[in-house]
Amino acid sequence: MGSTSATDLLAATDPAAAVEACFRRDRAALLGLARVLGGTRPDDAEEVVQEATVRTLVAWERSGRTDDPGPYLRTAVVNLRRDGWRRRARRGTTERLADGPDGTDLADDLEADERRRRLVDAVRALPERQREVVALRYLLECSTGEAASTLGIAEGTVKAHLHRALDSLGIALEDLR
Amino acid sequence: MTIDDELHAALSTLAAVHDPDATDRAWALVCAEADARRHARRRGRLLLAAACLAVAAVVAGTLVVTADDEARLSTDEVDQPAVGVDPAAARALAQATVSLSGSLADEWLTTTAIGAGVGDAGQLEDRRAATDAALADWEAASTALATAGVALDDDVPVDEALAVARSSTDGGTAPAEVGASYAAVVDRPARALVATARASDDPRLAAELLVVDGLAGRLSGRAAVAAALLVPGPDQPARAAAAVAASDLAQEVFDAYAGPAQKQRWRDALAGSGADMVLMPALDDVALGLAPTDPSTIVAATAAGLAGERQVADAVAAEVGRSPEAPPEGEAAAAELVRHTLDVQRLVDEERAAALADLGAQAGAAPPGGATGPFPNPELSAAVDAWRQAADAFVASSDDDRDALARAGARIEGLATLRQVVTDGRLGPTTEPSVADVARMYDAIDQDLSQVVLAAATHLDGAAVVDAGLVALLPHERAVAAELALLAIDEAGAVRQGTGAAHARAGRAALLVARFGTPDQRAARERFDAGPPSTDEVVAILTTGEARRQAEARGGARGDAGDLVDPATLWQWSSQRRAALAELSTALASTLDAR
Repeated sequence: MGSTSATDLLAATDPAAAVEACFRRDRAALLGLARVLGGTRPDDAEEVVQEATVRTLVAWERSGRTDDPGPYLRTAVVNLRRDGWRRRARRGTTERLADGPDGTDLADDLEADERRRRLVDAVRALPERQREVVALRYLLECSTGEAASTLGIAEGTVKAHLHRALDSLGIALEDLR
Repeated sequence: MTIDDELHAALSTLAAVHDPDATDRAWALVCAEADARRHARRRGRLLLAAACLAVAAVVAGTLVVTADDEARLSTDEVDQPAVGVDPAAARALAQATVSLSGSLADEWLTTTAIGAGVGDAGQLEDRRAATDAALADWEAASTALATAGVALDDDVPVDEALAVARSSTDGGTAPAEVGASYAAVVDRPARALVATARASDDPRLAAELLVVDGLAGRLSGRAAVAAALLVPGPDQPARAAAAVAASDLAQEVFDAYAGPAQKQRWRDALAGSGADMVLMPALDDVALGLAPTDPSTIVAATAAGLAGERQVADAVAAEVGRSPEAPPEGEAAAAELVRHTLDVQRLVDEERAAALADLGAQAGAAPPGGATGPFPNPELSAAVDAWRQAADAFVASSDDDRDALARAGARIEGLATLRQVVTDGRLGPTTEPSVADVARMYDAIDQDLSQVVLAAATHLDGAAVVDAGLVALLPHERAVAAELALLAIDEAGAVRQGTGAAHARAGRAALLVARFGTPDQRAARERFDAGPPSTDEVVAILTTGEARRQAEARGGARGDAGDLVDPATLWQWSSQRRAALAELSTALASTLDAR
């Protein structure tokens, strides 16, 4: 997570300040979320996070809200990512393995830890909903309630998806051992 | 290590940020995008939105430097790595570009005026000298950047492009082509701004430069009609000539229009002038199943569209396409609603004054202006009841405009609460209402009712709207559009009905009453004389040259060229242009000063 604290959000006196504080605090995590969910190039993740933030900023300014837009922004990223998947599926574009942040090759970053790399790949091979739940839980450290709210599903459903995902990942990890 | 720990550790690698400055750049991009959307929504203008979106696209190129991005973004731009740019030098280039664009626009408008027979050769020399000076400044600014290592494309030297543009004004070249030639002069300066933006490693600076590029594009004459309507000419002849040129263009378009098969001729005639970007949307609206009957209608619809007033533009289109024998559906209900709304607005205004006086008295201050009438005003209560009935009848006759009515209805419902606030002298348990609070609340009612008037008025005959004093109630910009549209409606009506200038004259008299509170045209003209342009000068211009020719060509009934373009209209046009330029200048200054 970024360096912006909750104090900055509490101190936000206008919508733009609230969104900016949230953006600075959560950007890295949101980029990671977009990367896990999309599995495409890093600039795609940048675009998704940017678009989500723009929409959040416009929405906050329009309504005059100054509360923490974190949940809204998170949901926007998830929804945009889904839209992006659908567009790519129609185009028939082949996704390639994840790159690391800022344009570097993730393989270089993870060379020393092949296990982590394989685990990331395993997460990205999960079904869409399971992947979202895992990303929200382990990347953004959301509670099951927060994840349910973000995804618009019941908390019990989140738990079920998480259970199935962990089962699958456990099997993948066993293969690595 | 548990699977939870492993997952957390593995996924966290994806959230690492190697470049701490990336967040600053990303936030700048978010702001630029959001700004683009705000502009696009508020102004409804494609040009500025496109410029701002270009900002976002190019700034995005500075955010993520990948081979794919470079390939995507550098297809028609200089392949310019981020080398760092001196902000002062970059802003000097931006200022010089705007100055050059403005000079070119002035020069082009002056040549247009000369072409229309109302220009002055001496003025043209002055304009050319100003352009030459601006060009020298731009050359100096661009040379400084090039020396500092910014790669500026120089395929067509600006002075050569300028020479080509000037040579196109010697007669025999269509006005649209002349405009295109002048527009071409700023191609390279515009590209230089883009190249400098791309070379900058400061995304905010890059955004500034590209916004300036968008503004410069608007000022350059790329959009001929936009320039004519929005950019102030240096003086009266140029302003008048710009209007005449717009009318000429509309005439050409009108002549070319004979049905869907001819539509391409429009586009061909307009292509390259940039006017298509501005005119075509409005023309499409007008032409959608309708046959324009008068070029001035097109101009007015365009102006209304430019002013962001789609309802007025639509009203023009509807009016033009409507048979005089077939009054629009719901006209009676609309007229009744307008009448009752105006009545309520008048009483709201009176009660507002009484309320403020009442509050002043509660605070121990003497009521300003003496007696102000009863509070609460029982007449207002009765008028609101009548208004509700008229609104119900209008809704029953029209599927449109329900939002405006619903908003105003809800606001009216709040009147009782507002009155209680004033009576009790309490805004809340412990808060006293300020005079400004109460004034704002009454103003909000008034503004929502104005929207109802506007919505209902689109169902009315133009003269009826004028007679109702509609224009006096509308915000300035909307009033300008409404005036233009109504005058065009008058003209279209006169053409259809053969009633000559009497109809238009009556409408204009009503406008004068609405605008200046006097039916005395002489007094109104004296009012004009308080500031530029002087009416006599405008009238002299309008009664000579192309305006007279056009007026006479319409059959002599319009022998007074004032019937073609009303002085009040020109005055408002120039005010609108001044306001638009002031807005642009402010935006530019704040953009450049922001950092």
